[in-house]
Amino acid sequence: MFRLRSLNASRIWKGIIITALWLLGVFVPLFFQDPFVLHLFNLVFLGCVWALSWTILARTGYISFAHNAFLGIGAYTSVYLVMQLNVPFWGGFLAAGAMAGIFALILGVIILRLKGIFFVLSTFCFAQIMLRVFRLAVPITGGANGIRGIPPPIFPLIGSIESHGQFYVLFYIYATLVVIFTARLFTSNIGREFKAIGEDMFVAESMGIDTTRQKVIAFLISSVIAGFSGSFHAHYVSFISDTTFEMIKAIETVIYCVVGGIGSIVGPIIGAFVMVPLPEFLRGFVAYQIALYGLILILILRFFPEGIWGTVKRGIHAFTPTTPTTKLKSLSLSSELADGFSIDFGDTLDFKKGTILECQAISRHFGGLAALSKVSFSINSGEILGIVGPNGAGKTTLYNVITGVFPPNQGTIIFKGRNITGLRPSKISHLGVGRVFQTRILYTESSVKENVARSFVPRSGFNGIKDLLSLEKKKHQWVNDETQQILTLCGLDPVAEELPKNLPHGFQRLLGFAMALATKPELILLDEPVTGMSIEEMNIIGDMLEKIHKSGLTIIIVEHNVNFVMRLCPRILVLNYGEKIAEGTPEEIRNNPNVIEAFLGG
Amino acid sequence: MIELEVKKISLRYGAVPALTDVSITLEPGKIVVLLGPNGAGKSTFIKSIMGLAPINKGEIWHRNERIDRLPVHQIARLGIGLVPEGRRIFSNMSVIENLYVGGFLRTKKEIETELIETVQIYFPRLIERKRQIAGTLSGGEQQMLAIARALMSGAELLLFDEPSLGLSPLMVKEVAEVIRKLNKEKQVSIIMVEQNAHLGLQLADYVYLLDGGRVKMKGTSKDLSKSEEIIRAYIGTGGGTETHRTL
Amino acid sequence: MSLTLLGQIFFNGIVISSVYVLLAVGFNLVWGILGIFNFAHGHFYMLGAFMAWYFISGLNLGFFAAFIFSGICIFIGAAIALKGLLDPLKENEFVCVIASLGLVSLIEGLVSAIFGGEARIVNLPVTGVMKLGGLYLSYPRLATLGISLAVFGVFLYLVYFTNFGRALRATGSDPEMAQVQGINISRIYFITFCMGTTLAGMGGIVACHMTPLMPHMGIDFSLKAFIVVVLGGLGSIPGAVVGALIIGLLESFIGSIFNPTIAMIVSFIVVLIILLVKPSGLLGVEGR
Repeated sequence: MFRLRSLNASRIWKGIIITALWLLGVFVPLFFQDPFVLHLFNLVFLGCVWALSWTILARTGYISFAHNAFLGIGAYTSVYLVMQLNVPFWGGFLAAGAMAGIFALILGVIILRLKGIFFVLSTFCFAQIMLRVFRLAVPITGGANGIRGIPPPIFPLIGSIESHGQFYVLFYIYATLVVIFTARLFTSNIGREFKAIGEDMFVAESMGIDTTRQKVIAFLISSVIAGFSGSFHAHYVSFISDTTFEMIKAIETVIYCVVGGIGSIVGPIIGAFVMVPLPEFLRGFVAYQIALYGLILILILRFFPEGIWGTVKRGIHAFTPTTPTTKLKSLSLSSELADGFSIDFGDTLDFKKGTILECQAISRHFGGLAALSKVSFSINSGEILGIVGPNGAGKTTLYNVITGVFPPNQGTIIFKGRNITGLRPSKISHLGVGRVFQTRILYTESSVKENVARSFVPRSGFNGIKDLLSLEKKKHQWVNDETQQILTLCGLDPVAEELPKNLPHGFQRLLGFAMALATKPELILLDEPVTGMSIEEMNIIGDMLEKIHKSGLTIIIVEHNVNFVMRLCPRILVLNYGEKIAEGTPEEIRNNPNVIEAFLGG
Repeated sequence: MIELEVKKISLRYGAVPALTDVSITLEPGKIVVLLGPNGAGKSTFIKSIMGLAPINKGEIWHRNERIDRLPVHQIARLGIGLVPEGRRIFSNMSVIENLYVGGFLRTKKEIETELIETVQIYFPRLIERKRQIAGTLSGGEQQMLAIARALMSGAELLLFDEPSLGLSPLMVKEVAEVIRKLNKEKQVSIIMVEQNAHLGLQLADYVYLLDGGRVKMKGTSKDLSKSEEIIRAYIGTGGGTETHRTL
Repeated sequence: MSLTLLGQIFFNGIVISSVYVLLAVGFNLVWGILGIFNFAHGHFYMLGAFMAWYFISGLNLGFFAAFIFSGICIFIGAAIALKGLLDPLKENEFVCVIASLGLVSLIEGLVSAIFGGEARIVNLPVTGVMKLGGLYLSYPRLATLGISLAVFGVFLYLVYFTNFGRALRATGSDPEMAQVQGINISRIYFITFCMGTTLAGMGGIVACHMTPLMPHMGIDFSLKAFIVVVLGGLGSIPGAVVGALIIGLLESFIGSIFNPTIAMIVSFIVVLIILLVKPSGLLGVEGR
């Protein structure tokens, strides 16, 4: 009761503080007439947008050093159209964003397949190439001499923006719009998927998120905003050259975000407010300015890696009441369902009878090692199948092939009558294959309940702008009911509001389970669900699997604990060295000499 | 003096318990084998002795010296060697260079002596191929190299992590021969974990059965050879000590 | 295009390549064995060049004294950077990269502030040219080539013929198993980083007379090191040599025929292609 109240109260307080701060900003130009001060503010607002737009991509885990290139592309496009082709400013502005977007689309499709440091470096390469292109393409960019006398923006009905005060209004509106946009983006479905991709791209893809498409969209949005900013920047400072877009500009975003606190919206804003005016206060020490930037970055990374906002948030958390971990540890698993309960999967379980999955002669090798050799089996709708085998027998590889992580070298996989061989994991997830990941949680900063609710999201569809503008309430309604069902089924009610990382291990396993169920699978793949569990816990998992099975779900279980598999599964497959060596009832398997050989060695 | 004493060690990976209250004793010059199915914690056990996986509870003693808090390279200095799972030889270096690295802690003279006295006798094929790049050796030869490398430090206690994994039955026989000879002729004490129960029972003086991170049984290999329990642990039964509600 | 001109360009390319070998091999060590992508690698090259300038033109020391002193300074600087910043952050690859960017700003800023931003030229006490056929081989460049090769030779000896070198390669191959053989890998990492970074510094020292020195050339050389290593293959020393040859000659040819800026663009495009097609490089090992 107290908790509920404090939650709403904090939200109201948040709203009040934000509105108050914003209003403050509106009245600043009335109190400060000094053009220099206003100029500083203008740079700060542009800096906020600069940092936020970079963060949009960083949220997916992709760090880009090409941001300055897009700024330049936008700037030069806008300037060229306005000055050489007499296009009105708003046309140049829009074209700036469009041009940046086109470059981003082409580049993104090429390099977003790279991972980690290689992606970072390829953005660096792109930026370096573009910088040199800027220097060489003299007719368009003016080369090293740059372009002078860029006219200020002229809007229809308003006229041209001349004074610093007028620019203040323009940039304040711009920054406000971008902040609102980014905030809405981050809380929308698509924004959450960005975060999921950043947390664990592999799991995100397996849970039905089309990671390639979302990454490209993130890159696109980020770069288009950079393009717009480029246009504003150029028409504000009235002179640009290739040095305007030097690499230090790309490093700036990183500094703002690191200083302010990566990962949030407030962080980059704080970072911009702190770092942008800094050079002005160091007028006397211009020479040491760059060194100071570096020193600040180093000190923050070493001692305050969460940045200003992150450290503040951590301080706040120290004062909010949370369930003590001892209490959490003493919770035991229980599955509180009455018999006869079943989950209503609605119309997704339309495949009622027959062979739901068929693997035909699957072979997969890595280098010279054959991980799977001509493995064939099929499973009927509503069955529970167990797969056992010694280490290295190929069980995980089999799962990876079925779920599309990589294709088999030979063989086909047929799911519900459809050939799914080689399809991407998110597509296969949409078709109804679910995979349980035990300890890889996607939304580490959300509660258990939210994690389950969000796992529904990839299936509930997305429609671009509608998604962003929609009032989220309606959709959350039905998600809430089904979320509750799954939470209760998996015995997660006692911990519904906790953060996943605080949960005892058994509950984390259940959460992984619940999230897979939320993707509404017809076939669910379990990978070592009871490894390391006590006997009581194993019983509970066994119960839960039984109940889910009764609801009509088809289940495959891979496990080391052969006892568990034998008691739950009427049919068992045995793999060894990538080959299927036995298939049958538990009795048959137990007495099969080949199986005994395989396990005991020979 | 006991060569190695493991006293009730427990280890968890995050929240998952990998080993619970495991105690093992190794007398000098003997071979102790740990058997058990996958996921039983065998590899974790070997790693914990070598210092590659820190334990949460318990103690590990080597000849009157406590070693469970020492860094890995210092444990190596005490004369403990490891033949790891999957061989893990330095694949981009030659055979002889691998052996030299194995003898990193010793003088050139000691290395050359060891080469003549040990490697030439027990692993003559390695000397033949001493300039060959290790990554191009066959699985069995790599295993021999891994063992020879571990001996180069003059180790008197060898840890083996699933030496038979990935080897053909012929190679497994050869490896078993070498292990047996090293133990008999050079008095090397050995702790071995194996999934291959037959091999383990053949070589062991004393056997421990590990399952679910705990020691379930122990005894001489003769005692355990005919044990039903072992088979049960590996592939399960209808009865047994673990109950589960009937469905 | 006369043969002598070609030959001249070729000679210059070889000299440039020899310097790039030092730069790239050092980068390879740090990135390949420690897994640290140090954006400031080129800044140690730049530091080396500036120190050489300071010792030679400022303090009027002989070249060899300058070489020794500069080398020591770089080594110490590298040790401080490692222990103070990069080692504690080694866990997270990205944070390390960003930290190295902090180093970039710090070093560049300090050098700018202390030495000023104007370009400096180092005049070596040795001047004159040697005529070989129709070619004019300047003594300073010959000296650069010679010293680079000598340093590289010492490096090769260290890595392939000493106990330490074996320990280094073992650590790069499998750090856990290296420890098991009794190798203290923390110490190896320390020496490797300092050695790799000092190699870059030495590159700067021996090449200090070839171009005007400016503080912000650091980033360019970091990128060149990166280009050569990606081209040749991370983790491969022969790869670094091959990569250095290709890039050095490429720069010399395209730079002379067209323009140095275009040469850099071409280098970057080549790298992008390599990253997409065979990220392990020409001679690199797959899956590293």
